[in-house]
Amino acid sequence: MQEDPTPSVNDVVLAESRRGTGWARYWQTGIVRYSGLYGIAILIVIFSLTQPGVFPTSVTFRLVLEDQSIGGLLALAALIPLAAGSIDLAFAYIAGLSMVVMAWLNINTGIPTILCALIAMVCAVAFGALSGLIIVFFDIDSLIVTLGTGTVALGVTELITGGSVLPVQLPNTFNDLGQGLIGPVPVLAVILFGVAACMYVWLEHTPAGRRLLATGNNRNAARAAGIKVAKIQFLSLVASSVISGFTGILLLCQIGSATDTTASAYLLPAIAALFLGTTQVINRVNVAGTIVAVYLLGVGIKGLELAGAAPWVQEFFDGLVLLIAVILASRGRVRNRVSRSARENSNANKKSSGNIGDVAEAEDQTSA
Amino acid sequence: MVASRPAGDPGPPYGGHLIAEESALDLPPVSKSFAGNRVLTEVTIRLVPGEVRGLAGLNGSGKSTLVKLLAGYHKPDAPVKAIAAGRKFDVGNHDGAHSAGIRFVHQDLALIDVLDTVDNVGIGAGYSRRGSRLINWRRMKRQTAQMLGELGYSFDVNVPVGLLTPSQRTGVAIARALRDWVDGAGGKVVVLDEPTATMPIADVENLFRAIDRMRRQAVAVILVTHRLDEILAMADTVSVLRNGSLVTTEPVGSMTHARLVELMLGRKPDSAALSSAGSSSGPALLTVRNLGTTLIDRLDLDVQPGEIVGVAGLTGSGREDLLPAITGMIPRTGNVQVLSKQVRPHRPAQAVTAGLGYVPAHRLRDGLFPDLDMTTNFTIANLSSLSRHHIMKKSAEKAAMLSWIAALAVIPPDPGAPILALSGGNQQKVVVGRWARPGGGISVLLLDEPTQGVDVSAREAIYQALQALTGRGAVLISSSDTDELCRICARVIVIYRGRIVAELSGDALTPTAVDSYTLGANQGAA
Repeated sequence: MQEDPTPSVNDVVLAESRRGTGWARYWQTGIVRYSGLYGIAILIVIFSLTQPGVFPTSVTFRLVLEDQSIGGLLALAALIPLAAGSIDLAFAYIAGLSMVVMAWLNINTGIPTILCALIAMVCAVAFGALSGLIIVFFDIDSLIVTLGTGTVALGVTELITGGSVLPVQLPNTFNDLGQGLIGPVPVLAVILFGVAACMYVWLEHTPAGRRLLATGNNRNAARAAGIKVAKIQFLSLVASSVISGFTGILLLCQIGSATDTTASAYLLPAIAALFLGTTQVINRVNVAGTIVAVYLLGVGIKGLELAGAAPWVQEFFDGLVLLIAVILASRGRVRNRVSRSARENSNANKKSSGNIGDVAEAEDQTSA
Repeated sequence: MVASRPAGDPGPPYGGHLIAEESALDLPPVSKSFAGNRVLTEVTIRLVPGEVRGLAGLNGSGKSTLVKLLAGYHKPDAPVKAIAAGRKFDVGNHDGAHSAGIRFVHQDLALIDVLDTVDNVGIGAGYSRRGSRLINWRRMKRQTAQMLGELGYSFDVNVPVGLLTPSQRTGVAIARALRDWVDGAGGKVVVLDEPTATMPIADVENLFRAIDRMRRQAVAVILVTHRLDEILAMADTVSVLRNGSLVTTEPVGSMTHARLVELMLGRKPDSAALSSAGSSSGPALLTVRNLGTTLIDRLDLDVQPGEIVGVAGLTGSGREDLLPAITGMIPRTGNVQVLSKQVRPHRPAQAVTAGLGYVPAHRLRDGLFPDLDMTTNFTIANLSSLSRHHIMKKSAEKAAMLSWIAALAVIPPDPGAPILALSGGNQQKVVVGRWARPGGGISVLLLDEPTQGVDVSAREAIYQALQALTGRGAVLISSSDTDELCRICARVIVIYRGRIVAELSGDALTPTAVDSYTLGANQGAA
């Protein structure tokens, strides 16, 4: 390449863009990016000191992993449409539908359990595809569409349960799926990590994942870059329903019975974890951040629970952590913006005096 | 409409001896510089009530700076007091201009599409009240309908304005600007900034009627427009700006289209014979036949391999529709072909597969992925060459980015930098590189306003990249910057009123010639 005419200015710009100022610097050095991990560590230390003999045990470790697996999987299910720019509210209801469909088939028919699970999956995917088709063909906001399809799914769920508990008798393989351990680690947690790992590779390391992220980031630009945005939006909702349906089946295996509200109770906690996750690791929707968020909330809640906190503390804690995290993250973004415009201003001042608007105007004039 | 022209002679451009009370607006000489760069020199405006003043000038002549000074968006170099309807105000003071009764209808209109006319007028200019807090809906609706009626419109004021035609929407914006004027006080001067730029030609008639009504209500109108025939048809007087100076202010009656063009250019229009058009042999790389949009009328175009073709045309001529229509970003009719591959309408993804790359005019709105980093923004359009077995080859991706950074001197030279941390020029280098990079996988690159808001050094880098691309394909550039087109294009087509009116190359390709044709010279003066 040709020699840079003004290396000193460029060096300053580069150094500033790397270093940032204030909160932006904390972001880049990882205080906020990895605040969830630090939070988990701090919570573990605090609870271990305040509740020695109760908190730092292998039982607590197992319980946290077990309790958070279903919520974590559902957060991942909601992550896919969100990455494509569509907020999905149906995922928990779809999980609930697949759960009761499988339970009902198990109780009322003699077909093999694996077939029950498959039929439940088909029902779940049908709802995901329905949401996707409505969003794409009628160009309606995903929030509204999935609120509608999710509520219909909830209605069907209530129709099937009739308001009662459906206890199931599952083969051992299915029970192990929901309740078994591999060494000290619950099978459900292993499944969560497996799904998370696949999704991480898919989103961050494949062309398809790139196109999904691009679609979610700027639909117009994605269209101009030759990405089939409608297809991606549709498929993101289908993929989400696959994970939701699968999670519903796992939930049935874990609990051993189904009610119409079992899965839908996960809706808001999963969305909270998902949005908390967007403040972690990378400052956008991402898998690693979501997993960190899930376990930050899980460790905190388990510690409070063991300390004898009342049930309301769980929601209180969930909401509080989410608010703190998004406020910290937005501070980082605001400062980034400020430091950038300050930099542009100083660059402009090197050319001449005058305020930003005037210089921009002058450039318009000379370009015209 | 000649009959409706008021008798009042506009007089000399600025006559200090005239009694100020007679004028609707009296602006003493103002100057404005940006960064030491004079863009407006001693320009004066004097309007009498009921006068419609056309404001003409090429891009960069200072029209928009003058409007922004009046609106209080900019401050003049030295403090100046202007008089409107007998009231003095400081030029460059927004509130002062407003209370002196000057109103603005900007090109984008700033309407809220989901609300109806009553609400748009009410939110912008105040609702009729019942008591001190409640809105008097019945009176508000009646007044709104009456205002629109006075402007010559009759449509349902309860329809969301997003569903109205462009001229009706302009009517809503005018009604909003004149809202308090109904009560006697308020707007006495209305500035219409490019009101017809995005309006189908058939709709312009309706706007003319509205302007005519304003004239009869003794409102003075400043009409800023690129379409000279509109000034000739509508205005009473015309002021011509060139390089920031007022060239003349004359009654329209003594003006012709050709003379207006000459005044704007500052020399005789260059209307050399059409140069050898489409002489290059061999099959065209890009073939456009019978292309039509709301602004373009059956346009044909061929681009040969290795060519850089420019598209010139004023705002509203249809030029800004051409490239989005070819790629399918906006609705179109007609036939587009890359070599033998058809490009269907409404399918930008298929246009890319056929070999068309598109750099949009609105970088932030249509070009960038703001939360993704520089490299992701760079490679997004063609990922297949940078992946194997559906897994991205991150090192190859980074290498491609680094070699582009080196070739175009992208700053900062950090592949992981957030795209918004780059300056506008450097962002554009990345967006252009999306297609122009080796392995971009396209044969024709279409660029809309490729150097808007781009600094001079980045411009040169982008031009060089485009030159390099001609070795592998062709380039089609749509730009409002005539000098840019003449510099980098071998051939420039000029669009006027939705049709190609000239095709210039070789010695015939000069900025004067391009500007002459964009202004509709040789069109028999409409």
